[in-house]
Amino acid sequence: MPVNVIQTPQKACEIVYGRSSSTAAAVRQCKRQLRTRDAQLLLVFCGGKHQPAHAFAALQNAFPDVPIVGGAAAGAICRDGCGYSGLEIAVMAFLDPFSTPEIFVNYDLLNGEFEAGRQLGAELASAAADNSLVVLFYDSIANTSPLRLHPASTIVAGIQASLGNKRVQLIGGGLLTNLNLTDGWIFDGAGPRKHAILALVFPVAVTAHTSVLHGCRPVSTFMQITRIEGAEVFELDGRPALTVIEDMLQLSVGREDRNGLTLAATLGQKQGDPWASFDEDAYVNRLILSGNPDTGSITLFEPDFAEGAAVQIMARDNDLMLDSVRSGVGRANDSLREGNGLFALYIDCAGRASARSGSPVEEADLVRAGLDPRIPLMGFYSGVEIASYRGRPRPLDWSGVLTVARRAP
Amino acid sequence: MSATIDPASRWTRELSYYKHEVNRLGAKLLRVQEEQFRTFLEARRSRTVVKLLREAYRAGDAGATLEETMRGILDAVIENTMCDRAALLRETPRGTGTFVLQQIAGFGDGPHSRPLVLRDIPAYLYTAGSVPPPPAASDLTAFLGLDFILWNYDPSSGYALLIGNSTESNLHRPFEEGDHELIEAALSVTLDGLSRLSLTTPVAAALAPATGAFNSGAPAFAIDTLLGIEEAEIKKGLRDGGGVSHIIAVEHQTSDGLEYLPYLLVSWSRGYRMFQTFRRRAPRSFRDVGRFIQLARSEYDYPKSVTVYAASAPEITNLRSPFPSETS
Repeated sequence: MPVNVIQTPQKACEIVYGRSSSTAAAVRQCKRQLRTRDAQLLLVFCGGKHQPAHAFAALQNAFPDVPIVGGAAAGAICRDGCGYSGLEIAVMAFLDPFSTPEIFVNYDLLNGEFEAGRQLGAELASAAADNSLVVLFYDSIANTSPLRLHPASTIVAGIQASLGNKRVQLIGGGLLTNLNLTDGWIFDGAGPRKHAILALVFPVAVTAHTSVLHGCRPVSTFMQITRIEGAEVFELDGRPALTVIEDMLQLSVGREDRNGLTLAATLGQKQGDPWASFDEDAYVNRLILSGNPDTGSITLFEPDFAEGAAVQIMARDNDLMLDSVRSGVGRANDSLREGNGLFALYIDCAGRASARSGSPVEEADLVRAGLDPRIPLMGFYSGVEIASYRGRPRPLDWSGVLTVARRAP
Repeated sequence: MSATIDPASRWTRELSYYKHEVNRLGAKLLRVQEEQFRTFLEARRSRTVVKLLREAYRAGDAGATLEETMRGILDAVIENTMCDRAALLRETPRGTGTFVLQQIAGFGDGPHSRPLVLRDIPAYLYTAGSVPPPPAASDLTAFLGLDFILWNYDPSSGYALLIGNSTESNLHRPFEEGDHELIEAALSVTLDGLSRLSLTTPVAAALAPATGAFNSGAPAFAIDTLLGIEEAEIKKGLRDGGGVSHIIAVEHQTSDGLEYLPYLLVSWSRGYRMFQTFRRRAPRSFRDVGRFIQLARSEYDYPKSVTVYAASAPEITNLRSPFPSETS
């Protein structure tokens, strides 16, 4: 049986992890662990309890003259630690200029997500080579009262409109301070920003393999969306969507009471043959953000389901989730060849964390333990995950996107 | 005459039957899963108490300063209870119902200058959307800036722990009567950590208003009398995420003039440890204390002051001296 011997002759990056309610202390922990003083770029994820301006200032003070990108995260996942208390700080220092990404930012999300995506896509079209790895981050929260998210599907559609026939490996995530959708922000290299999209375009010397990890199973028959406006589903099979779902669950949805079930069920749209056997990869799932008893509607995380679409109610399945992680990590390891592994990035839906899913095992721990130990691992808990799905980039809910970056042959 | 069933009608009825059964079973599965999740949360609460005990003790054991210990314990409280904010308060002066903030961590952890004043001090209190707010709830929620809070007060020490959440959904489940055990355990380990700290570091003594209840005598430096510390261990400790909490230096008269011997309090062990040479063969003293301070700043990331004591200073009588003639 062949054995992959994986070596990293030239180190691409270093990843360190700190945790404290004192931002300065968490940054100091990271600085102490970082062996290099010659970083080209820092990718940083800060737990949401850290104030963005304080965090950026502390990072800048600790790492002067190094551009800092990244932003808020509901938690961080590294080899040396993993948590979602909001106190974590994870730093990935890119060391090698030949594998350090170029930074592109658009600040116009509030003026329209499609247009902002289109503008950014135009820049990517001229800067990115074919099949380049492009990693996208944006702050998910457009408005807190009433709650509105920046929809990833609209951003991605705008980017795709500009990219035209150019194919890039687009992955990414929506940044949140916590799973309560309190806030979100990004670091754009110069400071904290809101309503912005950050794109990291990797040089052609870097290739990538992405595994999408799932964990939902259908628990209903197909229902047709008979009325929808954007992300708000008004009717399923001609009945108020909220009534349909609450009747089925016999629990209230999206209301702040003891039985609040906002994240307990999702709506899934099966791609391809609807009568084919169950395949987790065939589903695009959408979390239910809220329910409105006045209109009888439910609001999804993304506005990309259309009238007439056949959907099913999906339940999380923790065993399936853990199996999916094990097989995805196996595929990631198999994609590595001698000496070509640079780093791994894990964009993990915050809802998959044990405290929210009820899983007896942290699925992120399976990634940390199962992924080849010679590959530096950086991950964060996100609101929305973006990955290529059936040939085109799509936002995915309740999923984990595990990307292994490799040195091109 | 027996009725013949039209095949299309039969298939329609059969399809309807299976659809109904699938949906019924699916709904049942979801409800069972939800019940299982609630049981999981209950079990998690019990585990949280145990984890809190372990991690808070660790924070208190690390030879840290009072502030670092309090922050470390509050961090453990936040991490394990998944709350948005946690605050440690102390009734000052005792018997007045006026609480002064000792430490706060979490969202918006800026300093609160305004004390909390309670007419009647509850020993335990929580707020939840499903129960009417008890007396004193509005003062506590206003102080913490969050609607859903959990409070425990220890009358014997005057300390109180207050934690809170902004919502009762998604990440946070509502507080309930059963959380009494959790908040009581959290306050107990906090008080125990402070108690042990006050016996081991002079910093706690310097901050006597916060720990006075535990101070039984004059401040004294605790020292690990067996163990010196060398540069390699300090650097390794720093790489592992530890820190140098405090440094003092003791002035000694030698035949060649004055020398200064540093003692370091590090986060990974207890008590002050004498600075020593490679493999701890000999004390590592400095003729120029400024040189050592420069080393501490540049290599050990130590930003604070270094207090220099005369060898005869009463505060350092516990310190082991390498100069026998000077040892008291």
